[in-house]
Amino acid sequence: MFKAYQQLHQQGVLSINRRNSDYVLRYNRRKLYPLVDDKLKTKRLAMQASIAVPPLYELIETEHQIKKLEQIVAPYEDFVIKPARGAGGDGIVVITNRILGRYRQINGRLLTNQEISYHLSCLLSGAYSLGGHPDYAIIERRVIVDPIFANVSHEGVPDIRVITLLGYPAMAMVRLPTRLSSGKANLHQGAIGVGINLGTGKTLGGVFHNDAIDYHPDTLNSIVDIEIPYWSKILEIAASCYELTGLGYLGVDIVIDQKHGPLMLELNARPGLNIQIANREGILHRYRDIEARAARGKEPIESRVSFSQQHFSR
Amino acid sequence: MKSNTRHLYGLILALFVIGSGLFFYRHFILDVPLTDNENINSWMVEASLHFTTERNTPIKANFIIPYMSPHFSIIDEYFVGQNYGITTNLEGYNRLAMWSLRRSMGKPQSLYYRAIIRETENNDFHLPTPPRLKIHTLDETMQMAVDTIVNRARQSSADIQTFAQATLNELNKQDGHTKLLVGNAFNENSLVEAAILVLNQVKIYAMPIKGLYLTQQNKADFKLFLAVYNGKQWVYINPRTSSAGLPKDFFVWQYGKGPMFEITGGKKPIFTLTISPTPINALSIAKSHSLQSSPLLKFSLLQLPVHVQDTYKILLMLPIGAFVILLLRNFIGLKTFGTFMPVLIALAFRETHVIWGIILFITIVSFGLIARFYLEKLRLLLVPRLACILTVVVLLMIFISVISQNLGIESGLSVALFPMVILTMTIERMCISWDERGAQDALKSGVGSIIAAVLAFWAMSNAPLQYLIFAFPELLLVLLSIILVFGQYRGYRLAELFRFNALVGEK
Repeated sequence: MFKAYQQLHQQGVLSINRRNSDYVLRYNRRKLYPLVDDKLKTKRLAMQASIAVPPLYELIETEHQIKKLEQIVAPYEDFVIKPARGAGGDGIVVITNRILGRYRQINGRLLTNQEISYHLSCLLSGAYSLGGHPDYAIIERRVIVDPIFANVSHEGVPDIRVITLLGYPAMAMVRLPTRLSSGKANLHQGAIGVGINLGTGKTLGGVFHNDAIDYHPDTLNSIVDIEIPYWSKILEIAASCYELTGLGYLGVDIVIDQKHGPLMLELNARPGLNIQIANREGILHRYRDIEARAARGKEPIESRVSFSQQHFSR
Repeated sequence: MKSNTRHLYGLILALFVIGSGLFFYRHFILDVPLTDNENINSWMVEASLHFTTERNTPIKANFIIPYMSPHFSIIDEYFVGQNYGITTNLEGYNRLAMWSLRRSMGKPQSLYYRAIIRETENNDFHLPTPPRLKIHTLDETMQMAVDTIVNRARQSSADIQTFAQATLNELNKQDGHTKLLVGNAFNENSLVEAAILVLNQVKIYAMPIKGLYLTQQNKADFKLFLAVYNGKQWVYINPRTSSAGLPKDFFVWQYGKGPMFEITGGKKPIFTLTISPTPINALSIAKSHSLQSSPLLKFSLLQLPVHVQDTYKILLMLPIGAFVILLLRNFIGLKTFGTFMPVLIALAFRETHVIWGIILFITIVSFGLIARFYLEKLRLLLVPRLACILTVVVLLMIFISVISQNLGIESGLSVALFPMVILTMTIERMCISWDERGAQDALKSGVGSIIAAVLAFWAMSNAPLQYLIFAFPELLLVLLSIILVFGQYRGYRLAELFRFNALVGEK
């Protein structure tokens, strides 16, 4: 046990305690949290800074609007409903098209208008939000995933998580949904995390639960050496979120749209630690390098990205 | 950053030093006991003065009451005298209780003084130095007798104490010279008086001491000791055996000569004493301490009314429970529903006891969950749903109480002590996490909560610890500093060692 502790320590694996006290508390001022906890605020900030995000269709804030839902979503063939303050991907409904007057979800399930209305009113009363606070729904354009991931994901939307410290990308991974995770890109629920070489944008090996894995458990296709398109663009988006929010320690979630390229989905002020398992590497050494570099003075986004690409390539 | 850590460790150190300093001061100097079941010898001594009066005469009575006695301290005292005004005065080495009444009713009167006394370990009490001695000139025969005894005693002594002891030895021989000094009736009184006479002639200050042997309770009469001032301190000598030192069970009532009581306006006074041992627990002694002296004790919880004290006994244990949760969460990585929900459940365990507490908790939560899953189908909104669950929880509690009453299981009745709102929130949260993260995750957190509650209960219901925190609330400052230190822990939680297992052995 003690040996394991020492090994983890040597590898610079970040612990929850250290993440909270040395990074979250130090770099993220509480005052700025609402910027990332509310997806609409994040979206608006990003649009001002001309960072690409999925375009907003509608907002649903009252029960009254739910009654007119059919009219509101009538112009859109496919769309996504998200709780603005949701956590962990809960409460998200992806509608791809309509069949027989029903809404067809991405996993093929059909929803009646009544069912969607109930979901929305649950959402408004805070069923999916942090701490059960009243919430509102964002209806936005559905992201159509770049085909590069088609062979290595099951339903759902694979997303790229980049952790940035003081605006320097520190580590990245792709989260691939599996049948087990029922389309969600959450490692806890059985999605695969695949580490990414920051220098080249190519995937390294992956992790399924706690085991190393080199193929997707549902499709059996290799998940190693996939070259992620728009890689430097993705890193730039991630890096620029520091200026966007003022939060020094962020998890940036990015999806790659078939047509529109990388879109920033959401930001997380308390990014998880699983990225270390996906990359099979402790993250602390990278943080120390970044802190040392940042102490020398502020740099523009491009040089931050190139610093990270040089130093953290594997 | 550096000044920040210095600040923090300074604070930790300050809290620790203040807390433990107060603790040690109160334990060692003020004698607050460490455990509740410390057996302390204590006695109740009652002195009463009975007399008869005539109608409408003013009455003034006083008698000596104990003030300072080596090996003992007075915990509590009461004065009882119907309609009498009572004051206590210090006179010389003694304390007097003064009773006064403008018009007596003419009946037999009784005045009572009652003191609870206990043995103490520390004895930093000192009699003040005596006044200057006035030497009386004696007539010739007396002077000769004194000189003879002085000469004999001098030969067999080295200093004031041994001289006094030798003098008493001489006087105890009861030969011709001593007869002259002691008188015909040889008793303690005359012996001590003779010794004082001799010692005064050679400029040694001495006085009699009256007191009681507390262990010989059947005979509550005063015994005499001789107190001799040797130039630096007082030595006590037993006049009968001429051995030095006061016995441990000798309780000093009066220093010096003088009447034990005085009365004007009353007749046929009778002064009686009774002694009885009284068992007293350590806490009430600490309490009475606080009534006495130090301001540090005056502002103590022991001053509060008893029912408020009971509340505080529980409240003071909450930080201990929170500390247990801190250990479980930040060092072990145990998952619980809500941060301090287990502490509240643990509080309920105080009344229900652990096994029943767990059974009731699991019963209510599982039935609540069933109800919650059913409500899910009804598609209720959040607040009405919570209200429904709360109602179901209350109904369940009633149901359990009634059933267990009928089955004769009394423990079932204590179910009402569970915090209902907390249970409701637990059920709701458990249900959501069941939906979203799966049954395994929800059950894990549920079991974690129960484990945390049991451990917190175990820590919080530890009786010695409970007493310790209650008698020394300053220990909470020490706890605070420990929490601050533990809060600095940046290392891995036990659960993380398993979580990052894949990374162990890499590279």
